[in-house]
Amino acid sequence: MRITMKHQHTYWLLVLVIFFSCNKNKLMFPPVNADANLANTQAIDNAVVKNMEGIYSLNDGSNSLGTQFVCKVSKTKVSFFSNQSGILFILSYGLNTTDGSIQFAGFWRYAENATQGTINFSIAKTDGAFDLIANGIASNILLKGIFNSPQKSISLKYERPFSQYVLAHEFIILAHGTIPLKTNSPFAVNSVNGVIHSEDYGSNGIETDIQLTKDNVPICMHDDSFDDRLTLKGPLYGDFSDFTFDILEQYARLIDGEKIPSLAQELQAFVDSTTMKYVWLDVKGDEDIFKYLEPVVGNAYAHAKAVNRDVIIFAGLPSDDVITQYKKQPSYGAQFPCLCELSLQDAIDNNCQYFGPRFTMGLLLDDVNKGHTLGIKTISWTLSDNTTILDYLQNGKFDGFISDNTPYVVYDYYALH
Amino acid sequence: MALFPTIPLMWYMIIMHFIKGFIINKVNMYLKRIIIIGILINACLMHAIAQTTKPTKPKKSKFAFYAGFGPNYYFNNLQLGKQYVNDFNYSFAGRVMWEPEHLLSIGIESGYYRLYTFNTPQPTQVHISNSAIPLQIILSMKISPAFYVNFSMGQSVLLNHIHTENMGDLNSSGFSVADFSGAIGYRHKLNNRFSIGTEAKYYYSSGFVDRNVALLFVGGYHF
Repeated sequence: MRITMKHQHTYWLLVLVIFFSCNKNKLMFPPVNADANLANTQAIDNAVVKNMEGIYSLNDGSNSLGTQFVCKVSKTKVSFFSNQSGILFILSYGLNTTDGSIQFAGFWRYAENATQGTINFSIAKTDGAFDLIANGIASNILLKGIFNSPQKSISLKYERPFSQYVLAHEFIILAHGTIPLKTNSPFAVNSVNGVIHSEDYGSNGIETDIQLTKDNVPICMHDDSFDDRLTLKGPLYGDFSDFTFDILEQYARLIDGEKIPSLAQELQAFVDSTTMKYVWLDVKGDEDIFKYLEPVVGNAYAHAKAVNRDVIIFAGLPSDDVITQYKKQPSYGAQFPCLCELSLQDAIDNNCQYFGPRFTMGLLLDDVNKGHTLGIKTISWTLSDNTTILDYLQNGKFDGFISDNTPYVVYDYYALH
Repeated sequence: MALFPTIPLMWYMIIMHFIKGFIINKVNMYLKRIIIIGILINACLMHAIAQTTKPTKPKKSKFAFYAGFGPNYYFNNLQLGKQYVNDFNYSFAGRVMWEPEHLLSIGIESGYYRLYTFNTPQPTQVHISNSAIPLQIILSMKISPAFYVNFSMGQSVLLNHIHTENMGDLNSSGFSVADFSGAIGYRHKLNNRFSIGTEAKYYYSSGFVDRNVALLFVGGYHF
């Protein structure tokens, strides 16, 4: 009887693991916003809009989208992250040259479910638009907007800049698989579009998975074989390592219809189309992987330098097998940073600049502190529920997280510190 | 066969011997041993008789092997390159069945199902063929003396072969763990050993959500 019960537990555990271990990438397209208020507007320099960043509070109107918001600016969008249920707004913007106002149009959505709608804002010239455009001052910004249908009004007011602590302590927020899965973005994980838009969802870096093709091209793919969680049904089956990159480009597509990207393509998009800084390469351990990564990563650094971008690309060492491969290519380690997942001591032994413990290992305060004394940053992975995120931000000393739910991380870190 | 009439007589003699011995209480150990050996020999002989008392009924085969071949149709659900798929292909199927004298029988089934081929036009001509090799437990039930239904479930190995004009050949394979088939068939017995028939067979492979239906011409050998 005891054996039977034990097997029953094992069975149910297996069922649960299978059920919850692999999140399907649910694509959800944002609602169509006519963007009428953006018609005939002029582009505004990203550096100017960047001054909008800070903490905003609800000034007037409906509180159904939250009462306090963190504003972050990506390369092309302005995003707000609410204190309520991970709600976020992602907004395009432009300057109305006729009246001097700044117009915003986009969508809002809950981080974890399909509830979403359109939202538009306007900053009148006298409500802070002029000061922002002319002087980069955000302190008197008042956004007036409408959302949903039937329309509800909402007004947000600039409350304060980020705290000195936040400004002095950069927190690394890495989108798991390039785009935070829980936000149900319309982009496939490990996709070029995921990289380009990840920043809109609050991340300042990405984690991407690396496999080798038959002709030794590093591609960005989580699984080692085709699976309908990640790819559309096409004529190819089996392991990605059985196919050349050319064949994959022609006859395989991610679930959002994009081609499976090479790492080179992703890194180029990262450098050219975002302002993000960090890339965690989750190396899956193919034979001689670092030999083939080295030129790709080297080219990305060279390109970033050429376009004056500050990026850090570190290779993850998740297992002894990958460390063995890493050691086979000492020139890689001599040039580029690495992150060891096994233990702080392994990170030290392999001269890694980053330590990446699984979040189930706990806060690891002693390790994190010791790492800090040695110049090693610690990034916990993968945090997705808000309770854990809040707990680890308040009680831990981590330098960053990988998350599937970056809107929560952004609000909790920037608003509560 | 000549022993058959003697057996009741021998039983009679032994039993009488035994009774007589107890009655007169003079049965010695030697006689007891003869009686026991006699009973054992007769038990064996009776068993032999039980196996051969109906010589006119043919021996019932308990096992059978069936092999089938025929065309199939693939339910094309590709999301990429759907227009390049050739839906009509072929299937081989074979199964070994244990067929006791009941309506239900059980066995193991395998085969080779060409699911579909995929041909792109010039200039980047590529020929891709996808096939499945199932290995499944099969249950069969007679619904009349000639008709039966089959249900099988198990795993399949999925084979992916790519031939390109300028990039050589590539081979890959996958594994699908929760597949099943269903079939309805007609069987005509030619004699005690051989049968022929036909069956319509639906196959579903969960790995990549492949489905086809085949019309198989089936030959059976009973042993």
